[in-house]
Amino acid sequence: MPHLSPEEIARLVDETPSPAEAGHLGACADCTDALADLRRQTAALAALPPIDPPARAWSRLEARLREEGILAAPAPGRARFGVAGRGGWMAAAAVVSAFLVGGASGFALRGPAAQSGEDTLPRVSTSPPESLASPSSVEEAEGEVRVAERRYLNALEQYNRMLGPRAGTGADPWAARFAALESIVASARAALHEAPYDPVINGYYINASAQRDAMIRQISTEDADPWY
Amino acid sequence: MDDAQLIERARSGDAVAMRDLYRRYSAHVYAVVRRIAGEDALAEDWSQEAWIRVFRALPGFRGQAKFSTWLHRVAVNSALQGRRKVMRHADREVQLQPVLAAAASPRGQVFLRARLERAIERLPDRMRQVLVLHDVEGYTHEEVGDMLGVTAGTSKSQLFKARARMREVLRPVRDDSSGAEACHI
Repeated sequence: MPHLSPEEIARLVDETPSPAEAGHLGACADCTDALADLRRQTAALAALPPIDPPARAWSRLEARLREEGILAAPAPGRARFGVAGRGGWMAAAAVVSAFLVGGASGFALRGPAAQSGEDTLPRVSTSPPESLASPSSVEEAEGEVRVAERRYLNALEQYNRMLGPRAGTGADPWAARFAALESIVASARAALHEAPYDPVINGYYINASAQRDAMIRQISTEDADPWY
Repeated sequence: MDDAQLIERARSGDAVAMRDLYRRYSAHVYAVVRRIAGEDALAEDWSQEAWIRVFRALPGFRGQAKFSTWLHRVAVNSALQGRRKVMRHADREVQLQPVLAAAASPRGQVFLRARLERAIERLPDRMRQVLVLHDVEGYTHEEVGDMLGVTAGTSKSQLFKARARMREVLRPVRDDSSGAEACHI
């Protein structure tokens, strides 16, 4: 008897097998394993957690609510939360750019010194580099942030290549690092709710998010063990 | 403050109450929209659209349904409408490469969620919508059919295809069992 088709097996996650299907499953380890895989997959899907939106999503939504008149215009001098003035946002973006460019430069240039392992955090520049252009619009400032982020990731990939694989540490260092980055991202996101335009917190958030995403991209293409 | 109190204040334009409602449910809204959208840029726009609709309609919300249920449905509808408008992705065939692997190891456990999310992204649109609505969000085939404008039977058929494709994507690279060969029985 031929195997059950993948779609027939997928149906049996929810439905009772016919006598013929049950008979086949009783004798075919491949199809039984496939059904068990699909049950695990379906259970894992049902357990997927919520996903936090980007940190600035509320600010953007709030601006839109005001544009549409759903929310009243802000009172003068309001600073508790909401849409910062454009100048404030641009200043923050510029400092975040500086943070990332400085971090990337420090990370990329340290090279072999980092292999000693005593300090693997990027050195953060707190003052803008001379070459950093002063953005004249929100769009320019956002563009600078994106460019700086790309530069940072490129430098970091180069840095990781130079470091090479690490081994023999017992516990899985990737898992520990990923969990730590998740924790930083969550903390920074929570902090941004209170201080959405703080450049240092923005820097931490962008930095940790980029690192976490890079790890996900990397692990998705390099690993070959079964996931279940 | 419970939902009813927040809703009452948000109805009168209280920005703090709106923000608190948003904070309470934004991750749930974003998750379903993101999974239907398959990408962050669209998800951000569509989840914002969902919230705009919700806050706009809030004065008329009488509480016949739970707020969270109503909100979830608005989010799903916003995502599905958004998807219909974005024809550039319609009917795209996704190249199925075995991208996954690894969860038996500690690292694999950590990354399981990310792998599932990536596998969902790789499904064709309709399959992804059905899989997300049924297997992730828990809607019945009848509800999925209503939302997507198809029959419950079509929803089932798409779901089974989607599950099978997911398994194909999640299957380890070295697993060369094709499923097409005959059993040795």
